[in-house]
Amino acid sequence: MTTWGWVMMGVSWGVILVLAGFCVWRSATARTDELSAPFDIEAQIDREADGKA
Amino acid sequence: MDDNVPGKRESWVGRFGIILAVAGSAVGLGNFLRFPTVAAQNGGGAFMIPYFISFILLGLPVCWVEWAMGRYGGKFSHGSAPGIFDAISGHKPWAKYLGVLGIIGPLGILFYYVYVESWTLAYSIFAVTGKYKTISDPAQIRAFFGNYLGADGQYFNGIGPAYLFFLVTFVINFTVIYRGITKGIEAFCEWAMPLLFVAGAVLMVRVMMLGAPLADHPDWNIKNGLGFLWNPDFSCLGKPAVWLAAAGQLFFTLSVGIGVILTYASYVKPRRDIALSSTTASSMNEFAEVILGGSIVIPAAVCFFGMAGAREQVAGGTFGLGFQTMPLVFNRLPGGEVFGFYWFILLFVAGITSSISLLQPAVSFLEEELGLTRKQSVLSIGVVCFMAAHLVIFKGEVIDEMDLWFNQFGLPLFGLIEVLLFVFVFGVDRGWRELHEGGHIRIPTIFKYVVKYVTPVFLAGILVSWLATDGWRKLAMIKPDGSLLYNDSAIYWALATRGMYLALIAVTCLLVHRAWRRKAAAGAGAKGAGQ
Repeated sequence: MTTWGWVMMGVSWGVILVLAGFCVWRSATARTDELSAPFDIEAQIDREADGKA
Repeated sequence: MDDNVPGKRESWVGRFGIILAVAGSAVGLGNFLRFPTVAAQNGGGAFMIPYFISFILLGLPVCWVEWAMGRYGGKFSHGSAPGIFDAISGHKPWAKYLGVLGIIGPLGILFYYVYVESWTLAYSIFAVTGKYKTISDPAQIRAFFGNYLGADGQYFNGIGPAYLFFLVTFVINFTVIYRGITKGIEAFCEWAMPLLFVAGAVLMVRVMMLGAPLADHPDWNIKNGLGFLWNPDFSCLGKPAVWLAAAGQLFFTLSVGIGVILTYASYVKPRRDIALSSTTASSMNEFAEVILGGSIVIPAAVCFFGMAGAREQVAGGTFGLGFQTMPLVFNRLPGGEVFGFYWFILLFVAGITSSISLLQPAVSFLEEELGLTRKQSVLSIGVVCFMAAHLVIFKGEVIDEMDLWFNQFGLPLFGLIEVLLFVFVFGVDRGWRELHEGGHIRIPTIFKYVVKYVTPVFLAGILVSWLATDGWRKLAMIKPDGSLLYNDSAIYWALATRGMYLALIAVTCLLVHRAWRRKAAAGAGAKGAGQ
């Protein structure tokens, strides 16, 4: 295994472990009535629409 | 309160139900067999660069598109692509017919997938009973595999055992589906997926502890095994075929472009999260593929066959690695019976969680659009699948033909249709709002533009490149040297397979037409009664 091989393996594993770990942790701890995102999105889409107008 | 009462549409109940079901659909034989083979053949560690770029620009965006459209369709009690496309298009008359591919596509893959899945169940039994224990030679294990599939040989008397294991696998699949979303798919995936990850982790640790197992070959060791897969050949990045292979593998592994995620997402309640669930399911699949799948087969093959031997095994393809290389590896390991059993049960569970997902779109279509009962739907689909599977069992060469149409060609085609509908018919803003309704995370806005501008071009590029390089020859049944792809009678069976798929598409179009006429008549009747 070359140094570049270790680097590619380490980076690939790292990216996946961080992403999967964050997602599983967030899914396990999120409250089912937590609905923050849609309002942000609505507001942002409205802002964009105003900007276009 | 029970949400799944008669007359009411089913939905996922547990917090992780839909995540495990979609991850189960995505994690299949390809994660443990296809990924390491494709990566090793396409630049090793360097392959991960186009692979991750495809994941970000193609895999995740198409996943989000399918989840958003699926849940939107579910609000109107549509659980299959024709109904979902009808809903998102605002009842444009042509849209529902595009969805036919989202029913026939998964079934077309299932016809051969269930049979391949049954091999893993058989081999798990052979492992614990020591059926291939005495074999140490690659030619012998090849003969064993061929004999199991019906060729003449000393290990089996005909195709009887293979047929028996097929029947068992077939019944397991249809039993799970018959029990429905909550009691069938969700309940099965809730124990099967943790089992799959544990079995994968146990095997990975065992392989990592191999060191240099053969004293007379000290360089046949785990470090070189990992190097075989991960040492990058950066010159490969200039080859379009490598980028095509990475995008193809990504598409294949995430179960996108089949119609399965559309169906599963349609059973999510309206204001429950899909943004985080979709990303979690995709990342769990990547964990199973890159970390578990990349650490078992290839490193083990190098430890017991050396670099040159492993290169030969990789050239033999995924079935060769799974059913010929690995049994030989386990035969040389202390406690190989147990680890062999672990390996094949891991593949079997991965296969089942995928194959049940391939069945659900057709069952949902018959139940929800044509008004059939669960029993009638499962029986109807069961009869079609049972008959079509016999083509695969007795004429094995048609597997390539089936895989060509609904895997290599069908997935990017249907994925492109979905993305175009999402962007130009449903509307990106509306779709983005749907994706975030009830969301536990907010997906960075840049991805909205990726979905709108990059993903469709990327997908169209994949499809056109495939057609221009390799695809047109395969569709025309011609080898690169100009000779025919199939010999003798095989060409007639390949043509029969194409005829069967065309007939299935035509019949499903007629059923879609009839279902919407029936609904229109019922709607007119209700209006008349109200006046």
